[in-house]
Amino acid sequence: MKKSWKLVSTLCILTLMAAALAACSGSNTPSATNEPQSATDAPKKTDAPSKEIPTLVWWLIGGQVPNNFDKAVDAMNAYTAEKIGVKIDIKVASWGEWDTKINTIVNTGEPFDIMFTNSGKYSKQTAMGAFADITDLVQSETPDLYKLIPEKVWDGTKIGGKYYSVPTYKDSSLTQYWVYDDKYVQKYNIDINSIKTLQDLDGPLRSMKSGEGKSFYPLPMTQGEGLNGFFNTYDDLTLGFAPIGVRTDDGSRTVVSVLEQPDIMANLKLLHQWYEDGIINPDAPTKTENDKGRAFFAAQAFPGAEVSWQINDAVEKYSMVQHFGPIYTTSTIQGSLNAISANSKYKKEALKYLELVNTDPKLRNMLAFGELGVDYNNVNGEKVIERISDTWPLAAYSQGTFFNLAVTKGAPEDQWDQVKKLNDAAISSTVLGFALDISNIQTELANSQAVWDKYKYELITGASDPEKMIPKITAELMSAGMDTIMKAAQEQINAYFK
Amino acid sequence: MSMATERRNKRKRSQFRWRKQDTELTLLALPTTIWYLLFCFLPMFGIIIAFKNFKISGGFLSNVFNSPWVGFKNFEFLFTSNDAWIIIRNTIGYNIIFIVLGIVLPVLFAIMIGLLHNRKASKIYQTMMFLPYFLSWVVVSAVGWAFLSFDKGILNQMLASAGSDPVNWYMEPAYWPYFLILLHVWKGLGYGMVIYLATITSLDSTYYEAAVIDGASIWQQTRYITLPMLKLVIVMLFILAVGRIFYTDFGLFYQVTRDSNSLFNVSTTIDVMVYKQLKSATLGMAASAAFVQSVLGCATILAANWIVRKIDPDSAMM
Amino acid sequence: MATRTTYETGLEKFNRTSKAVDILFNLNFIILALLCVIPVIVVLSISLSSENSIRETGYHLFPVALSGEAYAFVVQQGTMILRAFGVSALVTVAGTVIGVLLTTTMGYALSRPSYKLRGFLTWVVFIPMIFNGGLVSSYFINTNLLGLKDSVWALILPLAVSSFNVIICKTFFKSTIPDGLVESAEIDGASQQRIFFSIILPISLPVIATIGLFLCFSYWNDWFQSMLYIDNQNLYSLQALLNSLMSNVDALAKNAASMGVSYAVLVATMPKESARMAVAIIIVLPVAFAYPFFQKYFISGLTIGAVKG
Repeated sequence: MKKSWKLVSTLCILTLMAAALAACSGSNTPSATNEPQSATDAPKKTDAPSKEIPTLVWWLIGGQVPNNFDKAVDAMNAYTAEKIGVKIDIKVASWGEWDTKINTIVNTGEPFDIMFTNSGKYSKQTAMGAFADITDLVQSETPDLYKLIPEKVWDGTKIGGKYYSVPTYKDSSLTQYWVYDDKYVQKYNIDINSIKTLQDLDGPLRSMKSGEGKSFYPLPMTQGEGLNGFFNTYDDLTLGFAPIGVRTDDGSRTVVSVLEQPDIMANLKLLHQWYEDGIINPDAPTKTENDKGRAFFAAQAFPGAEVSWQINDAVEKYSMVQHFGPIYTTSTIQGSLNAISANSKYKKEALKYLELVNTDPKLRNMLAFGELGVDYNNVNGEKVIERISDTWPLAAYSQGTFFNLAVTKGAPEDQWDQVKKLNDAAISSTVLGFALDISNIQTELANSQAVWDKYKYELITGASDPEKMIPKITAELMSAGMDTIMKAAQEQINAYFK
Repeated sequence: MSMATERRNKRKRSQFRWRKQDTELTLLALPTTIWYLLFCFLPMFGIIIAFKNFKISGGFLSNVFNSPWVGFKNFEFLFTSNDAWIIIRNTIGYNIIFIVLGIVLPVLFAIMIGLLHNRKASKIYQTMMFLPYFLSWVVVSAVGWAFLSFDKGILNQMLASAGSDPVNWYMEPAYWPYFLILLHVWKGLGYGMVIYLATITSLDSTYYEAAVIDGASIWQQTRYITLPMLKLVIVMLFILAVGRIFYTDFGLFYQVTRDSNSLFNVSTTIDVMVYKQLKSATLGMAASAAFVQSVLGCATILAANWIVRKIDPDSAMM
Repeated sequence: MATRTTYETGLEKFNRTSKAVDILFNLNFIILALLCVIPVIVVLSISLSSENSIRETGYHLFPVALSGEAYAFVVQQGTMILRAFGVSALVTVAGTVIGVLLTTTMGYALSRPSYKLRGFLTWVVFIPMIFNGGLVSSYFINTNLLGLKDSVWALILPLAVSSFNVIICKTFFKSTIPDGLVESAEIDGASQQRIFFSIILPISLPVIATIGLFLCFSYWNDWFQSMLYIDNQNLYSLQALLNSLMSNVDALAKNAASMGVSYAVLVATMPKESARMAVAIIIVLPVAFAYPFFQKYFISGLTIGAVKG
């Protein structure tokens, strides 16, 4: 017994050593050399060339990293090293892990240089001091980047009057469409261009329902989304909390309780009618994923967007009708931002890199589509490309502007020009450029969110009766401190726009 | 001094004298002690974050120590919530049921499985009963959806073929306390049985032999030998479980219920509430929630231990 | 230390339950086992169904339209899944061995009644059960001080010891090791280390197997450590990979509204539900094969002929 134990333990130790060796070599092959020795050391990677080329760490959101990821990044680095003397180490946190991972990284001060962020987290992270103030730096060091993005869009990143991130200039203004599966439009002779309001939809949706039967739902919804764009007429002050807002066209900038507004009330009542009459699926408040192919839905989009939906949902034709916007609000602009770490040692270089991404089509395409020849091919220079794989994990909307990005084959070639037209025609919300400082109303906000979370799914999908629920919800919200938040918001707005 | 006193004094002295065995035992326990130091005690400084308004100014350590002190401000949101009562009731209520079932059922089944005639069958049953432990709650939630989905779920399909109307399961709170308890028991049964099986296995067989010779029936053997032998383990597990009475399995109460609004009153526990709030709350607030759970857990475990010690001093853990 | 599959001695045959009771017990376990296995069957069924069939006819216990597309996906992602499998296996084996050693040594030391530091170490073990410094500071210590970022050791070391296991160990040692055994060895001049490795461990196989089992399965099941400490997705454990796949779809769906068109493009690249279920099956299968290996230490007879060295 004794001997065999000795044998077993020796074997174990040997296995451990072998495992340790394998693990060490396994974790050294990727290009990441970011093993922090001290909390504020920025990563350096000296290469064969005698010049010291810094490698910046950029956190992006995405999916599963494919096998050719490192090669694709190496190709980008070869290009950028030559052009601006900077290399990049892209770290991907996937969709489901983004929250936890990024919170941990920001909170523990783990070194990074550039980080993708959006309206949900941006103000909190900035309030914590995580990001660098780039207002002056971007104008002096990267004037091309600064000029490329319209001032309205820069305004969307203002916190306390300063810019803390580079906004992604894309379909930054919101244009809302109603999208119909054309087969039903033809079948029921729906005049989609005459439908302007929610009430106008009532007739067509009902004819679809009576024509298709009991288990057909013309307006399928999911838990988180409800009717997309339902609260668009109210600017949510980046709170992400629907019950508080300012009407986007309200010159007096009054903060109101959104749920109690007559137009919202009327629309919610309509949704509830639809829910009761089977136009909306009964399990909408608990359903998380949409089924493929819907008869009707609402979405934020731009001309040509229906192509991707058609492919994805295997629907022959979607007909889109614009019905709201285009409009700039702080939230719409903050859909995609790239911020620079306050502790970064390479702020200038990071900005220069972002500038290159936003101005150079070749780099832009590599970043958005992957490895040339493996993930995509050039069809018309860098203007039109064709995708040949679908494994590239990064999302184009998170990286940089759409306006130097190639159009994918099959989509209208002037797609990005159309988007630009929409942006140029966009009006601004009256509170654009204002960011709410929540440091003194944290408790009230947390408690109000908790109350709203209790009821929101069923309210926005029409499952609950607004006449009964809204007074109840509002009362609970007020006792949770919503009136305090509203008062504080109004004071801040008045002070800011004096 | 009498011989007896001398011997007593010598024993007393030797009781307090550091012996060679102590050094050796310390060496044995050293690696584990280092582990505790590195992975449990060093990070404990993080508890202060609950009392600070965390701001980033440099490295993490400087952040923690330089951030402004705000006392109990971070704790406010925990105690001003309107639903605090429901949440606490859910947490403690479910946990009490879980604790009771989590002891009674595994003990019962461990004893039963040992009494089966066919050993091979009992092996097979055990393996099958262990499988649920490996389905993460995300997967269980997907299976739940496969059963309970309104238009595609197995249950509603069965109802439809029997001629009844489909039920919107995720919006009917009445069933869910039973669902949740069932799922919790289902997931942990195989795991719980293991401890008791191991204990029963290591019991000295001579007790049973003597009992059989004395004419004891199986029930009597169980009652007078097996159960008392299990007492120590049962009490220990009971005290540990009570210490965690303020913690719940987040996956069960949030992911399986799909965060349905209708189920809020029967499925929201402290952990679920904290998680949902975390999305808008700060680091300090998150830390304060953890701190409160820790303190409460400490109080309950000490209380449970004290009660047990009063009843049966040998069984107490400390 | 062999287990028997049937009764051999007359005493055992005499001392067992009646046939009727045995049938009742078996019935009970058959129902329980079925309840436990049915969800696994559902997972298997989804993994073998074609996506269209689920869309049109819903979920079933047995697939309505068989399709290998999920497993084709698995094979296509073969290298990624194999790698994750390798990481999981490595972490589980190494972790279990290290964990057992660390846990049993501490458990033994705590079980010796005359050990001077017993009280102190009991508190060392006990306090972390109640208080912990939080995710963020643990992360900081582990990455900055210990340099565990992006290393397999981040998956192994933090989970190696749990106070729960230590206390179980201590309780077992205390109640099953006769004092006389240890004392006579001490008198013979054996060191505590020698006593521990040569005498105690060999007779404590049920405990070791129990702790080993718990460790094994908690390592195999863990996904959180990977998500937190590993940036390089090549080092993800299998459960972490699955969790990532499943939570990605959920998270995308939740953010769909704000992502507009990009959502449609991205969702198309996500693995289908059947594929995700296929990965879940891959995680569960090794357990079904590994568990019997540990079982022989647990199956008790009526304890007559019980497993005891």
